[in-house]
Amino acid sequence: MALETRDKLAQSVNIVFDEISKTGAARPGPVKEAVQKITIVI
Amino acid sequence: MAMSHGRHLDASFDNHSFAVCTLAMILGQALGYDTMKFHELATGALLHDIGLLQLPRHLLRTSTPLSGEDLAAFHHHPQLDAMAIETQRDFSQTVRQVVAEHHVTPDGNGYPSDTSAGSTTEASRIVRIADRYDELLTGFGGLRPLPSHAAIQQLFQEGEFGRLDLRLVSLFIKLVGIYPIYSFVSSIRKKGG
Repeated sequence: MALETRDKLAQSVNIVFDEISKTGAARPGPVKEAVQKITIVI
Repeated sequence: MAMSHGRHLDASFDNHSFAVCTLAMILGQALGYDTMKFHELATGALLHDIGLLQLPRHLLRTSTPLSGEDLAAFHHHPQLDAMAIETQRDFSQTVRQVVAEHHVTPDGNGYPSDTSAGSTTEASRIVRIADRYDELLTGFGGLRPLPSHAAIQQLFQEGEFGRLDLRLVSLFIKLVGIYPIYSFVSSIRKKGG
């Protein structure tokens, strides 16, 4: 996996976990977006 | 819902979640999952430890065995995982089961203890294997990291002892055993060869 791609994926994942950490809840939208990016690359 | 004040885990949490998601997808793909099942598996795997974000950092950073009280708090994280998604109807039942069941073992041990081993979904058992493998390799959660061959050996033993689904473990080892993640393959070529 290219480093740039990995960084973009990491950014998406980080957004999801930051939000969960701050609010205590996971929103489906950002989670779905991160999962879609991961599944496309993998 | 209790709120934490900013991230209190470092990048290892993100890396662990990402690795477990990737490993679970490898198994899901080999099992011929359709698009919906594949996405549910990936979502559950990505979110499988989000309850840990609500726990004090020292529970994950320790290199010594947790005290009884701390261990009880750590074992509570699947319930915290479930709470983090319980109000969101867009998460499927499979995703909810994966986050709640990923520490339930086929032999009936594991936690939460009120979950029957026989009722766990295949997706939960997949995520349990991916989670355990990454823990063994990286030391995530305070374990001593193992070399890849030792992690594979440990995984197989846990399958034999009924702590992991042996059929899925065997498939997993076939899929990742040759070149496990975090391994490097170097090409040895003679000059002019």
